[in-house]
Amino acid sequence: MKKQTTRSGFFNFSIAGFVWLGSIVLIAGIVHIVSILMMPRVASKNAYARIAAVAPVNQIYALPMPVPGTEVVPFEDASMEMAVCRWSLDQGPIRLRGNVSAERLTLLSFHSRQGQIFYSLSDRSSTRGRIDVLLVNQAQLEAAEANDNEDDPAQELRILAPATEGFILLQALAERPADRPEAQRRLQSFTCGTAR
Amino acid sequence: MFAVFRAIFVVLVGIALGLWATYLSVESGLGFDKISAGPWVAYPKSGTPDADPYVRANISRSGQIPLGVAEGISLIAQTDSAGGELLANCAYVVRGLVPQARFWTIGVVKPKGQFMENAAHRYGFTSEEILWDDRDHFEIQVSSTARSKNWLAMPQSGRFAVMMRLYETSLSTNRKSITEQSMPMIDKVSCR
Repeated sequence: MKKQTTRSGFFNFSIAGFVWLGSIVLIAGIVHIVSILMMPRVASKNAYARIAAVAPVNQIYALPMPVPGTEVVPFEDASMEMAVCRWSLDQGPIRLRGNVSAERLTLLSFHSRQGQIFYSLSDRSSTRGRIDVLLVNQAQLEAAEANDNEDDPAQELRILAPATEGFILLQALAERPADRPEAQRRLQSFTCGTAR
Repeated sequence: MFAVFRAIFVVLVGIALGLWATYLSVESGLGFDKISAGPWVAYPKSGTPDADPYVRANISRSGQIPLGVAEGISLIAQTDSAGGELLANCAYVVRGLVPQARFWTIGVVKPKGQFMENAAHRYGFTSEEILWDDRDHFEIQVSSTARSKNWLAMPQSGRFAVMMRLYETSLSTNRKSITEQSMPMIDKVSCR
């Protein structure tokens, strides 16, 4: 009789132990998955936050020359001249316009605040050396389409943004150190701001 | 009362373990679509909407800006081709082939991606300025003492990483073609 009680007590303990251990693993798993999924929303030093700390909204801002101590984000390419346009669609669509030159690498990428690249293009996508982008939300896209003239179609590239805030990164390759001023001029040809 | 304490203990240990796992996975650069080619590591989907949650967490925590699909692909080596740490007090030679790309750049940075002070004020080379040995091969000397031809100056000590960026490469759409053989080797020559 006494032996049986002991045995059943041990058995109970081991089931309880598994339940507690299972609970720990379950909670750890949930916390792990939630924290990984939440990271892009809560990370305070993501690329957008770093750019927002230096760049004004809705205009072109040239990032400092890539040398030690001036990095805005890690893993910058030292051969690139960079500029950003931090945008907000609250005041209306964003117009980005500029000139690129054939055989010189110019790259544009469109980033949401949470770090998703929703569009990217290079100088090879330009129309006769011009880049003309209208960044819109769904309502702004419909408004732009309502104003379209069928006989004279708009030349601009319309990009639908999946967020209301983000940034455009412009990069111009300086093939040699002596090409830096030319790469800077290529970026300076760009304007970015709320479209009227 | 004992059961309440035990429940609180279980919840706290569970939270701690979960956050620890998150920290470890982000620090180690875990990702479902991570590509390893010898010492080179790339996350080709890092900027796209189909980036996996680990890669997204890693990118947002480090603050780096990944390259878009039309821009190219970025590869980072934190070790040499033999798997050893990259140390500034050692001399390395980076040589071999480069996958097809319109332009490429190669440079040295600190392990977390900051530039390294160096007397020559050179942090990398582009495909246009590099001196080629013969038609398809190049050789870059990475060393704290001056070398001829393609030389990347190193500080006296510290760890570093090598970053290679392939701009407008066909690999952007065909990621399986990155192999150890198609990328440059990073060979240690000597140490001080």
